[in-house]
Amino acid sequence: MITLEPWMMLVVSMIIFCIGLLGVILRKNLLIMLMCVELMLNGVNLSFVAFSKMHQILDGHLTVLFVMTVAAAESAVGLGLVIALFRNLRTVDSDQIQMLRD
Amino acid sequence: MIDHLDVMMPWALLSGGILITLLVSVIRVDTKRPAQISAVITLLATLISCLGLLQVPAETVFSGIVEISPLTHFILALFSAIGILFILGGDRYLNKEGLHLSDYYHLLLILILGASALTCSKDLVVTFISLEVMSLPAYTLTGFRRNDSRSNEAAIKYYILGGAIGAVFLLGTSFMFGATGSTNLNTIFTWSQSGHSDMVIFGMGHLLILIAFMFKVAAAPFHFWKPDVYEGAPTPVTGIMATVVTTAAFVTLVRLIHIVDFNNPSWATYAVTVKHVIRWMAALSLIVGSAVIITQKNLKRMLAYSSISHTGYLLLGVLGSLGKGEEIQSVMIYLFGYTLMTSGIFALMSQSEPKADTGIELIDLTGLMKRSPIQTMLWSIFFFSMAGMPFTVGFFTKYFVFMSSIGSGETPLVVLAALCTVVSAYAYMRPIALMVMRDADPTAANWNSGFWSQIVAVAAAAGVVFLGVMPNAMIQYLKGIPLIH
Repeated sequence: MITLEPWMMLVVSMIIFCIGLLGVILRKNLLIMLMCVELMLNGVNLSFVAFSKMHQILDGHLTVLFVMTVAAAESAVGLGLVIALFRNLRTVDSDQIQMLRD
Repeated sequence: MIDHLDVMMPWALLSGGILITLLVSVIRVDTKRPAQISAVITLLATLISCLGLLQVPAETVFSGIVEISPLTHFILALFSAIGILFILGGDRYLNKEGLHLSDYYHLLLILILGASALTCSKDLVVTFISLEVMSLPAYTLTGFRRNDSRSNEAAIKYYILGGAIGAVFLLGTSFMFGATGSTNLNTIFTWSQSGHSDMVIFGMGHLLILIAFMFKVAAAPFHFWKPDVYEGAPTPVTGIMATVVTTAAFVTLVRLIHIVDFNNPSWATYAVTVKHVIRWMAALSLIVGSAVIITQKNLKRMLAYSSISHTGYLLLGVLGSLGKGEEIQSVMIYLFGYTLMTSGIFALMSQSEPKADTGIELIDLTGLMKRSPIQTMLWSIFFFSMAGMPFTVGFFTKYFVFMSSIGSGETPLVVLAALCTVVSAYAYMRPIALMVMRDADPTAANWNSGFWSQIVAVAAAAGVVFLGVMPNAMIQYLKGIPLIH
């Protein structure tokens, strides 16, 4: 029987975090970038749980609750900003949003 | 029962004031004046109660997650004062741009609450939450000119980068939690005083946290968002970001660097790594800031690059303090002087009435001498101070930072910084030359000094000159405040 070890959870969490980070860097759609930021936060959440299990304490689980709350507030603000942008420019493609340049 | 409510009174007043301001702005949607008055009264009450508590002894409250010290009260007093100045000074700008909505005021108060909570947090989770409490209103306020697509773009850029960097900070926190089993800064410091096997993962976590805050203070190579955000945001909001957000992020950065016991021999290799990272970032910020500032035509972008080079000088001070712990006063003195001159500059900037919709360009300053000698004098004082000329506060702040880092053997970097000071002095003298020697360009903006913004600018200029001639009072006071315990 294979048991779920904390290090396996850590590997998964790092993979999720890296997918999120790459998405923020590489994708051009603002909504996808928003989702990737959330993905990064969720990857970190999983690593908090893994470390918590490793140390046999509950602090990590508590932190996850705080992070989820903050992530919800953050995505609400982000969607508001994207809507404001879409009203003016009719696009969510980050390549076409280039008014601020040196 | 809540302990320590007496020393937490400024924060209690500020939080209560935020709720009242929010309530007022919901009840009286038709007029903005009540929310404005409520915000000013809140900040005034916070300021007064902070000034009354400036002598409190340092102690940790709320089961060790928050630390109260003279420094935290001083910083909240400073932030409240800046808040009042920008609410009064930005009044005309907001009316002119048609942005005068009551939401502006409670967002501003929440930003100040988050920034001050950031400086007194003693726990990485509290740091993360206050970082977001500070950042979310900052994103919203940056995009406050809803109908201007440049403002939207700045807000979106700031938001995506800020959100990603928040996640990087959290990853660092999780690594440190994994290594030490705690997120409390005191526990982490105690842990680092003895050697351990988890040092690699701890070091990775610490570096990630440092990088996240380097991003927040816009040290090169993480500086590219700053000019865009400065340009897109409404002028008073840019001013708030340049002063409140920068100060809070820098104080927290210093605190977080010092959670590792660098005097412990088992951290010697790691201390070298951290010093290298900070050294290179300081050098890059200085070079980028003073090289690119010369090419800028937009005044806000120019100030953004100026703030990047100031970040470089501040990192010199941080470098000087590494391993010595207590000697962080040069950074505090620099932040205080920088805050003073930046507040003045942004008060002056909110007086402009550009004819084209391109923001404030350098050409708008042409011939200001003939139109308004007083404003020319104020601008010159601030630019001289930015350049670090003697008889202004900017000279002494730079002097202390240089001395502090020479003291810890960073002489080559100080030489580079001195060279950069000379180069950027050209950039600061150019607008003065435009004001004095050129006739007004036909496209130049009108400059109408509003009552309050003029008072703010004159007060800031008086402070800059007074502290430049007699810096002893400021230095004695700020040296008496310990930052790290």
